[in-house]
Amino acid sequence: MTGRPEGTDKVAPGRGAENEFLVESDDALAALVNVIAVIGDNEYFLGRRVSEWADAGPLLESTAACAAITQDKLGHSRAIYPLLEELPWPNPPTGLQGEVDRARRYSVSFLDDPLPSWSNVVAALALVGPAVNVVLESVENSRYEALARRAHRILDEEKLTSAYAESLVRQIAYEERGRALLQERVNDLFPEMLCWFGPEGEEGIEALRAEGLASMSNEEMRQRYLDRIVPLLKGCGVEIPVERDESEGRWEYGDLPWNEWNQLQRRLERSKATA
Amino acid sequence: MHTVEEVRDALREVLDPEYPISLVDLGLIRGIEVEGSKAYIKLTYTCMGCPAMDMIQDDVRDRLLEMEGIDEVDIEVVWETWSRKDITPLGKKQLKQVGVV
Repeated sequence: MTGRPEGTDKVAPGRGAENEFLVESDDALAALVNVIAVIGDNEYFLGRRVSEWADAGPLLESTAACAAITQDKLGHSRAIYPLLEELPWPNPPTGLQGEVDRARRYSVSFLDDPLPSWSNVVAALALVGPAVNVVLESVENSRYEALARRAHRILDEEKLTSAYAESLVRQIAYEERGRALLQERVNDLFPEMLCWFGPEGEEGIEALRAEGLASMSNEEMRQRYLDRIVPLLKGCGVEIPVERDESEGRWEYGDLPWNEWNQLQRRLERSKATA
Repeated sequence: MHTVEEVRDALREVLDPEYPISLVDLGLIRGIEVEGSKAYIKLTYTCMGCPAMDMIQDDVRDRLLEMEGIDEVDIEVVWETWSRKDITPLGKKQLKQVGVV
């Protein structure tokens, strides 16, 4: 393979599995490579963005927490990326160790640039983190055991981060000014996170399910995500443009900006002027 | 050919880079097999962000290659979950002695 950026040749902390993993369907294999890159990049950039607050949190304990979360997230990405090399797929995305290691990012656009305020950090931890966890839950019992084992371990480590992120939401939303700032961030990020799970019936996700590589459909993931975040945010007075349809047992969220959606990289194509 | 217990005893001499406790007592060694002159080690870490992963693998490999009759060491990171419950009683005692509860 050529074109590997310098410095990314040793991201593997030991081999994960010796036997080559085979997938019958090329569509499923392509989707598997994609979902691994997406998990890896979102973990990486979430860690990197939080790291930039590891000397600047509003309290000493939040500053220390940023350092701990950074270590976790970057560690998760380092454990996930080597799988891209294990799969029999030509020229997969490389793992990231630096921000500019590769031009194409598979992370949400909200994480493209350093987070400019603490409310951005809280929004990223409260909205991006749980979304990644839902996808990890979908692959936790994957037939691809190397991914399943990592997903299980990451989810175990994420329990603390998730609880901490919830407490940050409650803290910042306790007063009107903080709640208004968080509301602005949520307004900006929420549509991207709803799109992030993909349009209903997405071919790649269906191929993964057919091969036993993932368990949840696009809509199942999106609904599970909403189950997780809407009660917390609404309970803190943050307005979320969704309604619960009890008769259908699901959240209704209206139209999503699919015209701005980049399905390969799972991100919104935002214009810099509005970012 | 060495036995699994002989390999485990050798690994009791490999200390965690951070604390004076062996990888065995810290609960990181999750499997040992010996086939002829090759040792297979299954390893996990205390956290996925562990900064000493490469160092630990190097130390495991170096110690086992010191054993007469071991020519090759295969280390597989299995990413099994780890908690304080995985520390042996001896390991807990050693950690208490250095002020880690």
